[in-house]
Amino acid sequence: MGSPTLFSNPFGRAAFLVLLLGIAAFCFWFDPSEVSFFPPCPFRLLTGLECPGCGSQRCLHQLLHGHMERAYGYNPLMVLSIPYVVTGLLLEYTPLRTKHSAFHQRFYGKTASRIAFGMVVLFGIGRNLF
Amino acid sequence: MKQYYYLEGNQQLGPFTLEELRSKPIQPDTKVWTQGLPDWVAASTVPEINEWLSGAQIPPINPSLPPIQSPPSRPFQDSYTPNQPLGGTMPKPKTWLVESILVTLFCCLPFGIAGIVNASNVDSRYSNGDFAGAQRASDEAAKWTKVALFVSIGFWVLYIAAIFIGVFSGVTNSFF
Repeated sequence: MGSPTLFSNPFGRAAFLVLLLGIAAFCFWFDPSEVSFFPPCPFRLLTGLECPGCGSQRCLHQLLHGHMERAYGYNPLMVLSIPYVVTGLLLEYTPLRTKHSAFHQRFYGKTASRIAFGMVVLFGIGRNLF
Repeated sequence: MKQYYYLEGNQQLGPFTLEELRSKPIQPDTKVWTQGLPDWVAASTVPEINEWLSGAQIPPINPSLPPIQSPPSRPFQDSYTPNQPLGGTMPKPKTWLVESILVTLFCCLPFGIAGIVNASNVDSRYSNGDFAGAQRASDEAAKWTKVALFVSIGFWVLYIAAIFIGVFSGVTNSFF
């Protein structure tokens, strides 16, 4: 059976959260567009094309500083998906899951999955064409 | 309180509490079922029943007392009983959709896409009644999300560590 969360034991969960906070702090203090020690996107390195996730480190840096517009410039899809992702995480990992189970079903449903798939693919193609 | 059922011939009897069950003519090979068991099993394989079965305290069969019978329809709302078709009550497995989207955006396009496709499969298989298939898709999605997560965090941390070690050794080399 799949575990309901990423980590079943509380220690693993806490360690993971600390790691994420550490990475976020690192991305807050250093601007990936100015320093050279952030890893490049392997897909772009190999193909020269931008993948749907390219620019997410620079985007995250701007987001953490509250610069929405500059963040949008680096990765529009990431900024646009924030409302969906935040709602989704709240629905999955808080008591809202049981309170709004019908909404949860639709939110994580097959239509939603297909829209997400389509948007990622279209965005990936579109950002290399225009 | 756990409730128990047992079979007498083809008749299902119950629900009983464990205490009530002690006064029933349960033999080691009597088929019993309780919440959490996939199907009817021999009484001797259920630890809490076998405890007093092996204690040679098998109560005498008293045919003058008819067993209490309750309607067998849906004794538990939230669980599967062998009399009830598997379905409707089974929760939908986790689809990992949002996690997959995050993975796609933050690192690994192929793993993220695999996760999103599996998320879609979870829901369509679940609504078609293919619960095992939905669970498989959910496990797949979970696997790809975790692979992507650990690969990307590992790569990211190692890359930055390698750069800093390189810079540090460069600095020390210039001093010595």
